[in-house]
Amino acid sequence: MESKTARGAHVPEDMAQRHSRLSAETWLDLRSWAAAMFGVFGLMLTVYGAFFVTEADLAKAAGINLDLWTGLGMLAVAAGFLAWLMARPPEVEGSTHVVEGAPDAE
Amino acid sequence: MDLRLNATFFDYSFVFVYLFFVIAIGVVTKRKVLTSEDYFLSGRSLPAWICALAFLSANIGATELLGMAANGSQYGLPTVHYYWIGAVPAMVFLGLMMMPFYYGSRVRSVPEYLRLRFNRATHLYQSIIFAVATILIAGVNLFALALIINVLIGLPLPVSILIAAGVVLLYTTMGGLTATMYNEVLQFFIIVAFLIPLTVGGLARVGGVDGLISTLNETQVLGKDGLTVWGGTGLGNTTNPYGNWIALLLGMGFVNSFGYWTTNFTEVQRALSAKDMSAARRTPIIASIPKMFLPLIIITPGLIAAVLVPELTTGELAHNEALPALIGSVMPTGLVGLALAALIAAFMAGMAANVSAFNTVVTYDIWQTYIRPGRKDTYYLTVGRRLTVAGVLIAIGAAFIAATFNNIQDYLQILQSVFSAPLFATFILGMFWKRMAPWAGLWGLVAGALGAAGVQAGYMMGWLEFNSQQAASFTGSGMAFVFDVIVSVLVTMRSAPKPLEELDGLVWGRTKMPINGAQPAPDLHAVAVKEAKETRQAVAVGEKPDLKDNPWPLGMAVIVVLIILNVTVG
Repeated sequence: MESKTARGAHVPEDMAQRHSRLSAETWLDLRSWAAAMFGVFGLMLTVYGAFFVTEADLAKAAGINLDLWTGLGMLAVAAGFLAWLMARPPEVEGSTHVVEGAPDAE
Repeated sequence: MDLRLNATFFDYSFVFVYLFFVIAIGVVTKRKVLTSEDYFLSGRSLPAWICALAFLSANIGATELLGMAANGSQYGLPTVHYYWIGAVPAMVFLGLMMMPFYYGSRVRSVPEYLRLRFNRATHLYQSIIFAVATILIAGVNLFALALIINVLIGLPLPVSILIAAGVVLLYTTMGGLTATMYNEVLQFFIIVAFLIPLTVGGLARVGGVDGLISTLNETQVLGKDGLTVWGGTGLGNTTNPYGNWIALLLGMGFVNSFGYWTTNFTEVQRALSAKDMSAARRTPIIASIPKMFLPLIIITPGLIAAVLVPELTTGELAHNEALPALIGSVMPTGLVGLALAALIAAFMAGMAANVSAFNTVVTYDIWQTYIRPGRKDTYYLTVGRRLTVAGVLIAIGAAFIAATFNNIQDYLQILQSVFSAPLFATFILGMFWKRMAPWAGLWGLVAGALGAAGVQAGYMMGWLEFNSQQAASFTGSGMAFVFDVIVSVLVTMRSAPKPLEELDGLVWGRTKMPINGAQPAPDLHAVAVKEAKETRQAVAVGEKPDLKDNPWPLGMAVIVVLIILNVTVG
């Protein structure tokens, strides 16, 4: 596993940091999950709304393409979570499964 | 009218994607579970925003979504009382006044507070009642999910019961409270993501906000006070469906809502998993902000349904079916799938919340305290996982029982209100009255339950008359509060109080904030209890929180906005 490589003494320190952030802690961070789920749902709705939407679908909301707008909105939320994740990467906690070489603070 | 949705394979794929994410979170968060506190309390490591949204989500189960939309379609705007009077003040109160004692005493559950503050008898009584009630409610939730899935897509009841229970079992046994709370937060987002287009599309169909209001005024389907919040709540001529303002403030606002929000462990557990005292106190306060504005996308669809679904007024459809009927009428292909996923999410998260509270109380408060004390932590972690399996099995059993008895849900709710009504009185006395004797805890709770049960029984036998079941339940809760206080005072006057040094961190005047998250909880054996007392004393001296971490400004701001909302929407 990648976090194991990061624990090795010969890996350069900045490499170790990047590894630890991308592997373990990132997937333990809820923001990644929110971004992933909204990304998938947003994409599904946007593609459907843009290419496959039918007259019957449009009539249900008095002509508004709800699929498209909801999809775009969810993609925007996904992008927001991703940006938040990039701006403030998950802190590595000071417990037993801490990855050595990871920064204590920003 | 047929409520069956024309769900396509594309729609179902939303449900599959959602279930995949739910289980994947369980698999990943398993890495975080090393100790029993990791499993039961997320290792007290979560930031305030996750705790707050999970706190909110644990309450938005079946009852909230379907029931509030139903109330909206039947009674209209006064339904916001459930949010503005029945939730927000209690949530702010929990954060500002009570959380210091829950979090500061290092207890791992609400019943455990009773053990430290009062005695083991009070603790055992409350632990057993809570465990039984919680797991039965999980079963009833499960049954409600199966019912609605059956109506919407025609899946047989046992199939959806087993699938939903299986998924919940999978992620709660693996990831524990972390997985449960992560999923609760995602559930909150997905519910909002489906309610916003439902509201927008519905409004477009009825001609916008103006069209909605003028149609409702013309047809009067909601009655005279359907478009006001406080209209018709006067004492002399009460026409508001929720009663006069005194009944509203005291019954719904004070006795019922404070009892639920401040002492129900299903809720409080979310705040106990916060990473420090400040985050724990801000959890319910932050949660109260979206709570205040949720009626916009939960009750408005109810109002829209009152216009778009005439079958609700003719009685062809029950008001409980307002939300499913509106989904079928407004949501296009694709969003139908999102709506299905959101409904399933709401039910599963509600059930998982109950299961995670159940396994914590049974493991810590019953197994570790009375049955097998003094084992290693890993032992209790294993017990917790096994109890989760047992809990889900019991819930499945309860779901099948609920399927055969029509009224079991109503009886359960009455039973739960009987036992939970006096809790708030005991907690508030225990937290703010140092002198209160240990035995006053148990007898206060018992007397309160008897008071509430007396009112309920009197109503059912016809000895007492009330306008509605709800009015009877409010009065019962009020009686429970009064009985609890009187008996607690009487018992305290006739017995010895607890020595002051045993109350450190537990009562007003014996704690100082803030406290960080990763401290061990007080242990249970005689020796360790002494040590724990020292720990509690040591953490009882702390610095003042800086402005950003201080919950008071935020809490006061919420109250001010709440008052402004009540006055302007009036």
